[in-house]
Amino acid sequence: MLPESERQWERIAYLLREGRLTRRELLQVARVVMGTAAFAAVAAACGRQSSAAVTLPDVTGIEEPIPVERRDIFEHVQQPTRLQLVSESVAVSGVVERVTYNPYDGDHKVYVKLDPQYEHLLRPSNNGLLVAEVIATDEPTVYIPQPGEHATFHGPLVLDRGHDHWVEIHPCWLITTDSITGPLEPRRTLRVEVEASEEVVVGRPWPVAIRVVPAHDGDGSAVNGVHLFLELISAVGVTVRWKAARTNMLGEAVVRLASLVRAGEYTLYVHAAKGQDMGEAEIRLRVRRR
Amino acid sequence: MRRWSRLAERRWAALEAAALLAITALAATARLWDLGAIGLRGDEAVYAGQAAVLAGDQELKRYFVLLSRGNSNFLLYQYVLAAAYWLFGVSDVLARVVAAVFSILTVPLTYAIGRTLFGRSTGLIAALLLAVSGYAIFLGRLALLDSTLTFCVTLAIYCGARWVRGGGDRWLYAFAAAAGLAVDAKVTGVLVLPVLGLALLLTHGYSRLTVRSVAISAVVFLICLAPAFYQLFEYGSLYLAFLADSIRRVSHVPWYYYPKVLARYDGYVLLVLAPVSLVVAAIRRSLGDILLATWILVFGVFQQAYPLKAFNYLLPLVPALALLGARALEQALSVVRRSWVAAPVALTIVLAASLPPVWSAVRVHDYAGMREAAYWLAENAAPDAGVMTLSQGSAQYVLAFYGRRDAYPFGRFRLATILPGGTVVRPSLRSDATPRDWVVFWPPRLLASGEVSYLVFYTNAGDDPPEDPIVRSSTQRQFQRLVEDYGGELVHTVYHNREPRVWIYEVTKRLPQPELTFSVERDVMRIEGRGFRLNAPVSLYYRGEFLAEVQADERGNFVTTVPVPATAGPVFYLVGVDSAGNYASTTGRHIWGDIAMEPDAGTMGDVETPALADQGQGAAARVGGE
Repeated sequence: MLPESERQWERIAYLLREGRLTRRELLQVARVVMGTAAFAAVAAACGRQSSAAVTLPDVTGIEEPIPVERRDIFEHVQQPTRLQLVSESVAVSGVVERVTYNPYDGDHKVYVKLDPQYEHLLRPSNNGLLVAEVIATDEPTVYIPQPGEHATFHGPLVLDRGHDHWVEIHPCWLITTDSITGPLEPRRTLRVEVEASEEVVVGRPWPVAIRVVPAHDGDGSAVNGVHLFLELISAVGVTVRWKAARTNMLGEAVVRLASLVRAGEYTLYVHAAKGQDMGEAEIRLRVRRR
Repeated sequence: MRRWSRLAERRWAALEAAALLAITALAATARLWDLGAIGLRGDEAVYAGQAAVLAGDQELKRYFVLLSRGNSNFLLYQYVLAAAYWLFGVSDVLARVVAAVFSILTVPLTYAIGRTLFGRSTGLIAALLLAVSGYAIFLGRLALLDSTLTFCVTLAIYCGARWVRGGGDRWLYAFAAAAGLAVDAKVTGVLVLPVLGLALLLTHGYSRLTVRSVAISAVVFLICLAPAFYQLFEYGSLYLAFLADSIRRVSHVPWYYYPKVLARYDGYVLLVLAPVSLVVAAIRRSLGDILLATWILVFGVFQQAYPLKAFNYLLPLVPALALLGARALEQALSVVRRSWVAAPVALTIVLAASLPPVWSAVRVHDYAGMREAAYWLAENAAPDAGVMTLSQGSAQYVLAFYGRRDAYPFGRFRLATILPGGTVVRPSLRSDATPRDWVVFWPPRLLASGEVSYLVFYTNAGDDPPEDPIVRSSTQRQFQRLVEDYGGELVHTVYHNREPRVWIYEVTKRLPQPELTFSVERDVMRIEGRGFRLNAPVSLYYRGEFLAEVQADERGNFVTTVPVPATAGPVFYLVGVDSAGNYASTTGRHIWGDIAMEPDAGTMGDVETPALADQGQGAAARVGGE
């Protein structure tokens, strides 16, 4: 003797085969399907708490056109995948609280107390200050203001996942004040000499010797304290490695790169800057599997 | 007539046994084939190491404690493995064979549950679904606790099913014993108790319980938990500390993480069948359906709600999903039972759909090369040379297990670390981020003290497609920087399928940046350097002029004395450059203050640079070579 529920199922199965179901049986099937779906939704909701979405700041009224030369807005930015783009170009103003230089990525960080009309952009992780990050390659053209100075900061507005999604302008490609109204004029006064082997096996250390000398000075004396920024670019144009360094008191730097990149052809681009003085160089590298 | 019927029954029984045997053989083949192709992973090495210690391996006692650092699990699997080690000796493949045997035995057990609750065809289909489950095969081939847990849970459910089907109380006691063993395997095994409890509530089966049967069951359960109690007694406070750390761990994954895991490892057969099966179970509501539904409900809701999630946590659910899937398939076949081709076609589709996940499960190449790297270290590194590797908490134990070397992690994780010798380092937990102790705190200290001499970088990704970067995560980038900052020299590369997978670097410095100091006594300058390249010559310059060349010792330090240069002053730089170009400088301000400042002092005009040497590998050596 089958229980009631078993008999009902047998009947539903029979009617399914025959293609005939009464409204009651259809309702029963629908009820079960909906119940299962509801259970699945409740179960899904149990796990939902760990995927909180980040609210993007409202950039209405502060956006501006991107400069023509900045179509690739994250060019020369170290690890751009950690940045979540909010707006491609904004302008905000405030008073500089402090300025730091990070020797690991070569960036200047300008911490800004925003004017009241821009404060809504900040997130709790900002601790009340917006960060405007001037990347190494922009050092010759971007004026770095002093603490206490009031300035306007231009560049893409992003959230930095590496810093709990704080809001920053990165790269900050222009800083203007009452006296500085546009980009600084870079001076190509540095010559960069790079020495390294042209071929290396994957994983092997690749020491790159860099010497910076004045471009038009014949006595060969080197320049110390020059900020160096290195980018290793693959044959398809993807940057796979960034590193910052600084020339020593002898005007030199030996940058050790562990060549943990895929086998292939690469270009090492070296950018040197000391204030508005700058120079560039590039060399080729072939990385072999064995 | 009765004789013919008995003969037919025997023939069916023989066919059924043959089918079950074939299915079990299929499961065994998938779980045992080429089991030692890749060495153990981190967690596997921990369990294998613990078992080796239980089996009496004195050397490994230095690296492994008999306590779980994670979810405070107990040691059932390790005890079984220790017995196998005692019989056959310590090996990595044996650790996986033991786990695989538990996984294989779960297949006939699943058949037994299906046969008990629904009939022989459902049992056989369920066994087949489990045998070809890519997820079960993948985990069954790893020396983890999950296969043992799943076996114990399935055994408990089988005993529970026999009891609710009207079996004697001995099945209830067997259920209690199996539940106790499940907890011994992994603490989440305790969930079988609410599974049966909920099923009894829904079916009113609790009326069969007596005070005597409950009391005996409780005693049996507690007796089987004796190993766990012993562990609690032995390591009480540490156990509670680990438990406290563990329950604060959170996985930041989307809500659909587990369905995604199932789809990735198991394909879509069980994922598609599962909701259909639940509908069927909800309509039929037979005793078996309710038991299976509560099995899925209790384990599924717990894992979905528990903040810590991992790819292996769903395994105890898979036999239940296989049974429900089999139930749905069997029902679907009954709907089209007039067609003789339907059953073979349906089974062929299921098998064909399972093939790609099975192939993927058998051909996993994660952590390839770590075992070989450990063997290389065992042969080539000094016995007291420590090694550090990228880790999510356990990878360093692979090097300790195979290489018998002091191994340390580099990475961000919320797990305690057992230092060589048994010292326990708990993670400094923060609510907003994963701990950084093993990225910024411990690595520089261990490198500076000389306890770590080798850095091991590995990648799980092959170079096909070549666009995949070797260094992709933030932790990998930081480890790469560690290799560079400490002058890592590549001493060995492990290749797998002709692709480089593991790189072993020997550090050549003890500090990321060398340091230079000097003092003056009468007319002698005493110069001290630290953190230069080990055993390398260091050239000293003062005010841009060559002063002396000294030899750094085996720790990268040196002390030398030179006459005070005639031009000495507070702002001129003393510069030290070693043969690798590592550089340090200092002025004399701490001795002479800022007096006697010359107009051009300390500018680049004062510095005469040594000439550049040849290009190539020698580039790094040229600066100090002048």
